[in-house]
Amino acid sequence: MSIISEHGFRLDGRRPAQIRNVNTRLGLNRNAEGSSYLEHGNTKVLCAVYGPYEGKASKRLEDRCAIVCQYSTTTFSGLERKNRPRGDRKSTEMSRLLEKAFESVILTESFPRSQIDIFCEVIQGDGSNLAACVNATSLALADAGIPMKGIASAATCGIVEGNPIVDLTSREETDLLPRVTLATICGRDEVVLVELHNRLHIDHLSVVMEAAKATCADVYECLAVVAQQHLKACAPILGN
Amino acid sequence: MEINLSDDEKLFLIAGVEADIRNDGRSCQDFRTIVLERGVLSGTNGSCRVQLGQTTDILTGIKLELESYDSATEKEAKQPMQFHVDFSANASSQFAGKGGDQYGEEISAAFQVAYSRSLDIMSNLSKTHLAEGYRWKINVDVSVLQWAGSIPDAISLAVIGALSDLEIPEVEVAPDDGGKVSIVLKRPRIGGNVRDEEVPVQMWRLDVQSCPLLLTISKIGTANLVDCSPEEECCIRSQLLIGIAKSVSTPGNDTYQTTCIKQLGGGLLEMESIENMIEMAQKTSIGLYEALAKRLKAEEKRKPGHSFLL
Repeated sequence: MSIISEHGFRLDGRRPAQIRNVNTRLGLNRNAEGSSYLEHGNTKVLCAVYGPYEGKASKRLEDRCAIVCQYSTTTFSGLERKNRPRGDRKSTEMSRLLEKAFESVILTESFPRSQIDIFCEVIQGDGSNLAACVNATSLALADAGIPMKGIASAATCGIVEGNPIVDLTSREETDLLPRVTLATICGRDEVVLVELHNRLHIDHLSVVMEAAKATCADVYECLAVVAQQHLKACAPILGN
Repeated sequence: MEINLSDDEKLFLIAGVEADIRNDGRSCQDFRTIVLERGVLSGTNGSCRVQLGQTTDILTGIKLELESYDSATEKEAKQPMQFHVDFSANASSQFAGKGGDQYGEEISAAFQVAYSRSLDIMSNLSKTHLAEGYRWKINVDVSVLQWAGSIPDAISLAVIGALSDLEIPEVEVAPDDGGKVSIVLKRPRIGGNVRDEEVPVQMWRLDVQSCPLLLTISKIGTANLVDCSPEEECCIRSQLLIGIAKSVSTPGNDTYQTTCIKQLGGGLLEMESIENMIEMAQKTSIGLYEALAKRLKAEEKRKPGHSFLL
């Protein structure tokens, strides 16, 4: 089965530059400062943000706050059952990537000597898991009211025979096609995260990055609407 | 989530419980509102989400696996279910990293014990045994998404919900060369030129009406409680995890069996209180079984593509 059919459609009926449906819900978790639930098609992610609070002394930084991320997937999230939800090499790597990305998004200088915990749980994984986690985390941070440079949005893009395809599903990720995960702030030219899987021809790099950037801007539009709607819904509580 | 109560708050709570009035207006044997939804995850063979008192949130997913085992070394048939409980860090930051592993393992072990005789209790579970050396392995994975007390009770409901949602494919077993067997999915025969792959596989479901329920009965002051809130859990003297299974051998005249008793946390208990607590668990389970059966019957099938947390 080819990734793009002769009529220009992908396996799930999308166009190459079309993202999946984005569904969100904010403020589900009553224990956390901020939380979000986000769906990209069948990829479903829950995110909770705790803090800023006075964290562990070992993690404390004098001039800014420490960001601690944890990426974990439920054992039933993928096609095959996993034995461990977290702690393996791949999820540790994902945690570090999220940590680094959000260290440059959050205005960490505003909370010296404190700690912010970000926990992402992939309930169902159907491709672009890291991108979905970035988007969910952005919304959870917005829900928690933590000052940021802007809402970060991310997208995973691949390239098939010179044509970029965006927001990959797990079926598309299983092929040996090069894929780039890119995260930008407010859909502008500020890149906070970039990751490449498999080998990519240098000529294709600019094409993929261009497509990924455009998709990030599209996703940002979705996230911004959600954040604004949530703020409006909260307005009676806030008193204005 | 950490809860800090002062001594006076605790005394108020304990005195209230002894007078059979809890802080949220319930009596000692009342549960909070339970929400049960099935078929929430399309990527699993069976799934269920249970919410208790709007905050405790449990998600259960079941994945089937065709397992081969050595029939020579295994004398007695093993029950096919494997339980795994994971505390998501989303529930509380104390579960981050390995923080929830110990508690998770403790609860998984209790479920393994409570379901250890499930081949005798559940009427059609033995159908998961396909042929000599082959059986379906049922991986029951539980994820605790939010935490506000009574985790084992909520998990046991979610497990039963997911087991009732579980669809197991019918297979045809045919003898093959060298004493082996070949296992093929069974599809109903349809006439005409419909290709075999387009016909859906026949499925069957487990009979869950006698699955064990696990209830935590807590001793606060002199009173016994079910379904404790986090504030009440701060005042617990001692807690028992009791597994109750309903046997439906005689219709209309149900009897209840205890499949597991386990003390959680520390504390001392008198023999007499243990008896009272088991009695209370049995009484509570009657109502809970009834409510569960009603819900499982009345719940409508979820539309495909409909997401559950929205």
